[in-house]
Amino acid sequence: MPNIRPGATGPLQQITPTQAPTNTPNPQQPPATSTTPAPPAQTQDSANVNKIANDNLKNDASDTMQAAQLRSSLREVLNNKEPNDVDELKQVLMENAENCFGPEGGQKVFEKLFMDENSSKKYEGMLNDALNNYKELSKDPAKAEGALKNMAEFLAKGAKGIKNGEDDPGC
Amino acid sequence: MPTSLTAQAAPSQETQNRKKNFVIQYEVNDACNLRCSHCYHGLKVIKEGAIGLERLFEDLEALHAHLGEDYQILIRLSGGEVFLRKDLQSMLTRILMQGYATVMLTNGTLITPENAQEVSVRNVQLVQISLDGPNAEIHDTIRGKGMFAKAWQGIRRMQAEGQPVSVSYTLMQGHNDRKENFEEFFALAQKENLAKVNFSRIFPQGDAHHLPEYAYSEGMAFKTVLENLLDAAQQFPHVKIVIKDPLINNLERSFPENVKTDVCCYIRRDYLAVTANGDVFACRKLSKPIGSLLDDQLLNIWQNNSLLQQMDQRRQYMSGKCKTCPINDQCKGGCLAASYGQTGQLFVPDPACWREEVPV
Repeated sequence: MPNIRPGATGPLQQITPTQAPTNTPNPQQPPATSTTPAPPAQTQDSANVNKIANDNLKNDASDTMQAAQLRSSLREVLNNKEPNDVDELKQVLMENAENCFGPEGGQKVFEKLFMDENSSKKYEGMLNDALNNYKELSKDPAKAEGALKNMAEFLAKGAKGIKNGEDDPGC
Repeated sequence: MPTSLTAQAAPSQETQNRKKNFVIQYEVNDACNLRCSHCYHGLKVIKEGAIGLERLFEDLEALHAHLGEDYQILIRLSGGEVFLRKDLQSMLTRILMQGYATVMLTNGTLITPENAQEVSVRNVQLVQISLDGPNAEIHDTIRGKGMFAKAWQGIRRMQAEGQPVSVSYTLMQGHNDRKENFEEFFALAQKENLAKVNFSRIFPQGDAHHLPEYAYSEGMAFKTVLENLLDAAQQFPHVKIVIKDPLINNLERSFPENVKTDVCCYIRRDYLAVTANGDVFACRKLSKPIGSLLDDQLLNIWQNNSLLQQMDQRRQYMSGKCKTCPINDQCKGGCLAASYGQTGQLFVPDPACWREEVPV
């Protein structure tokens, strides 16, 4: 079977055969069966998170760390607390916020997303959708875990108010 | 079988920004609240696409694994009219949870303050709204009375939520392509703080097949339109303009700094379209399906479809003046969609090309 990647040139017969995709484990991706992590110790990384959070989350370098922490929090909420509605989901998220971002930073993230009246109203419907989707996805732990990670990254980005506005490719 | 999601979980935004987009245009329906005379769709009856998101994700997972980590999948939601889907917001959330970026195409007339808010928190990179003229007189002739005002209302509602919006302007011969049309439009874009304006020409397929007079079939006339567009753009340096056309770089002139040219052709490069009935297209403006997801998979079509391969290697099939043209490497014969729509043949020179035949 020919391996034709975008932008490939030359006759088809010269194109190299497909290699099976490697399934390299992602060190930042916790296993689907992992249990809820303990609150992070005050390592250099978590100290950085606190500092950045206290700086109103202006530093892009904090994205990955925030997302990882938030993912842990979401996993705890969704896997262990089994929230039935969005209010419950939000409440547990806020309880976990301090563990994720430090007392002040965590409060800022979740105040921005869920306490501010306008923002909370916006995100409520999305969280409802996410909850419904998650319940469906939870039949497949790997899919559910991937979805949590993606949602956590988005929420961390949302807290910072980032909008891309990239060019619209395609016809 | 596709690899698991966790093996390719979404990278950070910083990493994503360095990746190349592979665009999947996914039509969520074929129903529309408007009846635009230049629409490239013919059908307007399918309220919900035949291929659901979960099936699409399965195919995209396999395709993404094949493309490699240099690429990120960008799902371009279109219709019909996307805002007619009652589950649109849930679909956006599901795409977000899947880790794919999203762009939306809409006529803008069904945007409310509420659904603008909902879109703004669901990771939509860009909402593209169609405007086909600088004023209601020109726009509404194509899209219906009152639609210019409604489209602008939609734009402003999205902007009020901080949602990036771009505008798509379809060039139609003799209708909206005079220099004064462009000047009026850019003045409006500047006043309304539009992030970006995209231009492309009409493609005579679908409903537009009955409007051959709007298509560009005379090279020098189209060249003049492009020249006028660039001259007008120069007067509005703060308006970001994208001109999407395979022939644009054939102009022998410098371009204003605010103009970005996009020579298309996305065929076999970084694009596939899945329509509401499950058909797969190499280019959505080219009314010739290359397969169907009802009986095939996206990756198999991408790798093995013979028509797609022919279109990719079109230079060896091109006829007429393209065979000896010294810049055929640059434009690859122009737009296949225009050729096919206007002549019924794929591998003939773009009818809007202004270059003279070069003797052998």
